Amino acid sequence: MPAATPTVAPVIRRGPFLSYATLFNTIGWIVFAAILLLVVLPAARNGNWKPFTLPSTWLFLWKGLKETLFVGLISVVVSMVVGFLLALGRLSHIKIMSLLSSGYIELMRALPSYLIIFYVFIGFPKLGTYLHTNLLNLEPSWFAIIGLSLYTSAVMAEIFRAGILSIDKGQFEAAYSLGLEPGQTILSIVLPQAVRRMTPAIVSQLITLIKDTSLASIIALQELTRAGKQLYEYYSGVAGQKPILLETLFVIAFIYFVICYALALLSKRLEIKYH
Amino acid sequence: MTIAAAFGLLAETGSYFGGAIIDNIGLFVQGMLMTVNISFWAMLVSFVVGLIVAVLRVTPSGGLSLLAATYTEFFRNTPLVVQVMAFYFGLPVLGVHLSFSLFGIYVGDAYAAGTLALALYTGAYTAETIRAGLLAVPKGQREASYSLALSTLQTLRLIIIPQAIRMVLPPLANVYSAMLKNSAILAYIGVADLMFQADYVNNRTFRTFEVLTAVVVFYLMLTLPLAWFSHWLDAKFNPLRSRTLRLRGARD
Repeated sequence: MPAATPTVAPVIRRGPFLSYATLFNTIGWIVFAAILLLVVLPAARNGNWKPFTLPSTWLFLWKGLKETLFVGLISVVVSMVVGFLLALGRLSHIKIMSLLSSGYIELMRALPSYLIIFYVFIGFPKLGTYLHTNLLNLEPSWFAIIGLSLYTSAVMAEIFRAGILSIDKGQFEAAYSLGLEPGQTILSIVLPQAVRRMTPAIVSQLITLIKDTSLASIIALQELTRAGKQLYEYYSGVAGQKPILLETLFVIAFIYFVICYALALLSKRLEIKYH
Repeated sequence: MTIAAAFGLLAETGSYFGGAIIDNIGLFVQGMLMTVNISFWAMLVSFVVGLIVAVLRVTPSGGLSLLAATYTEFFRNTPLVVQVMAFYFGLPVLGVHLSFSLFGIYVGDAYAAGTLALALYTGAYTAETIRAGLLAVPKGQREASYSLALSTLQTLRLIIIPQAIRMVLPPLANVYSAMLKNSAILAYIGVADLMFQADYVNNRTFRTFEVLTAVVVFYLMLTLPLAWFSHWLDAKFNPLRSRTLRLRGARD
């Protein structure tokens, strides 16, 4: 006689009528809607957006943005090259080279980038006067590029070093046993593999770099932040115009946000792709 | 001529190298204390903000997590300079003045606005770091906790957060070290921190390279111990994962 199979009636378990999740969710959407309705919309309505309907305003901001992108892109290229050399220096077996490179890297990473940029701007011309040469009186954009590259190359060096160290030791051994020289090994075996792993970190650093170009605006560089500052200062000087300080800062922040957030999404996507 | 000029660089205008620093050492120390002061308060505020935002962002609540995500992404992807400008120049336009006095201590507009901007900027990074930690706690921990009949809040408070904090402390130390460096930007709105005092001494004495040397040394005195502390935490809490974390923590 077969044992009777116990039959269990399916029980539909219902949660409580108002679970914590639903409660939090509802509160969340109410708070979000309240902020939108009570803060964002009135701010948008009461703001003086008239200057932003003029093409000349956007042309002026575009000039600043071009400078920002120019300085950012040149600096990232320069600091990648210098950073790669510094990483090789730090990994090298020549004691003095690795000591110098790691000293430079640790020093630069421990200093505020604002300090570095600031003293490049005021230090270079002063050094020029001491050395009786005119060569050090550069355009502001080149000062900004030097200052940003001094800092970013140290960070890039750490990224490169971590990337090179993350490559399996067997790859080096295989390359050596095929008769490749150390330089060839690094350039044609290790670097192509390391670059894939490093790309997200490099893109992240590019975001930091683009944000940091705004530091140079404090001193002399005519880039996006400074363009915005001049814009609202100009409008506060025109009779019969409402101040557009917050509106301008919001527009500028939004431009930075679009660029940096796009780069952040790219970095995230690369990370998913390569890991 | 060039050699003489190089000597001139070492002993700018007159007295021995370092004279300008020794004469104004009080200002540098004041500046350093101000930098520490700003960093302390900004750290406190940004940790609280970051913890709340991180928890909100991992909750299943759509609205709150959207709000938290908007805050983090907006503050992380815009420059600190613009934020400081918005808080310092922008809030008075709206009629908001952040200066206050508490127990007879007057807190100025620049200090309050600057510290708040710095705290909110760092709060976004703190939130991201803590969120990464919360998500890194294995799912089984949560399930085990629920099966032991702990409530959602108890699970978060007793199981998830203690583990997450251990994982998160070393990268968090990096975030705060970056914040200390970022605090130099407040010199722009006139907060008398190290950077500001150095510029003041430079403008008074015109001995740029002495001032530069001094300000570099003073900043190293603040940031290097923090970096060592971060390495120590890393080695203590995550002996195996330390290298990968350092790779990830490259951004800021």
